[in-house]
Amino acid sequence: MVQGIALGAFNGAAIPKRVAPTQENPARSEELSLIQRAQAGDTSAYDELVRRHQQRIYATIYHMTSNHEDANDLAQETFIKAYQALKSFKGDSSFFTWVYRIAVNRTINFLKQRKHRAAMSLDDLDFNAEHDPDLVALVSDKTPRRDLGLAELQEKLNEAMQKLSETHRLVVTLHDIQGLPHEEIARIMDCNVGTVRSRLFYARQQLQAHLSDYIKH
Amino acid sequence: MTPESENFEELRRLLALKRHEQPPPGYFTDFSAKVVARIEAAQEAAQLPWWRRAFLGLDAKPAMVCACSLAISGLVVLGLSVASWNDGVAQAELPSARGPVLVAAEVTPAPATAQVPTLTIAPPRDTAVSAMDPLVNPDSAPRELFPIGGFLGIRGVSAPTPVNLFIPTNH
Repeated sequence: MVQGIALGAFNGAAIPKRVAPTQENPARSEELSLIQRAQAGDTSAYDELVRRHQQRIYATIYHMTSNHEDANDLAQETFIKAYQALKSFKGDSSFFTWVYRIAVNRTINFLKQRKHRAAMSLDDLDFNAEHDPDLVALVSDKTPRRDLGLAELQEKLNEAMQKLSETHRLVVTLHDIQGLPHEEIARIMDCNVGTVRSRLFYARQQLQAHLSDYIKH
Repeated sequence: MTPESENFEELRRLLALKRHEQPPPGYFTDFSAKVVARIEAAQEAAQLPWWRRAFLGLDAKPAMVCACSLAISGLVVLGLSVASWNDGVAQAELPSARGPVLVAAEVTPAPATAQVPTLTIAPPRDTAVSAMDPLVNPDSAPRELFPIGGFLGIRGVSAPTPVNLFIPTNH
């Protein structure tokens, strides 16, 4: 049975939301139509598929690499690879999960082949960051490092993320940043939900230790 | 304590910062167009003959082309210098290598009256023919066909002097 995925919203970021498999989903059927056209060689249909998933794929790779240029290259390569392999896509999983798997595998291979950690090339914070209630609370008089600006906090956070192993960084990225449910992460990482939960717990502990100066206990 | 009961609230707030990291404005506007352009370029390249694809590959890798050009140039220069050095060595070795032959050619007109019970070097019976006969005149034979000592990499080994088994008699 193919489980459909539709777009939802979480803290302003688009994330997938599971829908009942029996429910008629126009977005899902429209995507299937695009996939079939792309499989037949219609690049305009594939262009539309790329548009639908480009932000989340880019964001996942970016949070894994902390480098805009690497994320740009890997995101483009992911979609090119996906197009080349599109004929093998049978619809057993959603297109979203399938592309995610390609992106994740390519990114992890890239990070493992890279001998030395590359310099970070961070994206700028958007205008809403200064008004995010969570961040306002974090960078306030009550925080241990109230002199710390958001940009510095961003750098420290990315440094701490890069200290995690690839798999631990991935579960934090997919769950805590992108808001995917454990089950979806398990499908993407091809492991069971228990493994996802334990990796997430360990990764958070590690992050908390690395960022102890910036987090109240 | 279960994993879920651990308090990661502060960390969750901090990680919210990551969601505000955005690529430069307009980045996603032409992202899909770039992807499709690369796909179509790859499809066009796949339809080209192999030699055109090879040249296209060279265009994409100028550093590799430079490295290959330097390597080939180096090999050519090395080959030329080795060849010229070998010529010099061959010129230097030539007199000694051909000495016995030349001597044989000069000595061969031995007097018929000489009482030599041993093997002697016979004079060429017919100069026009013997000059072309490798057994009589080894210089006429291609040296590559008779690389005496050359197979073993031994220098200074001259070709054996051809001898004639004719034993002169005093009749």
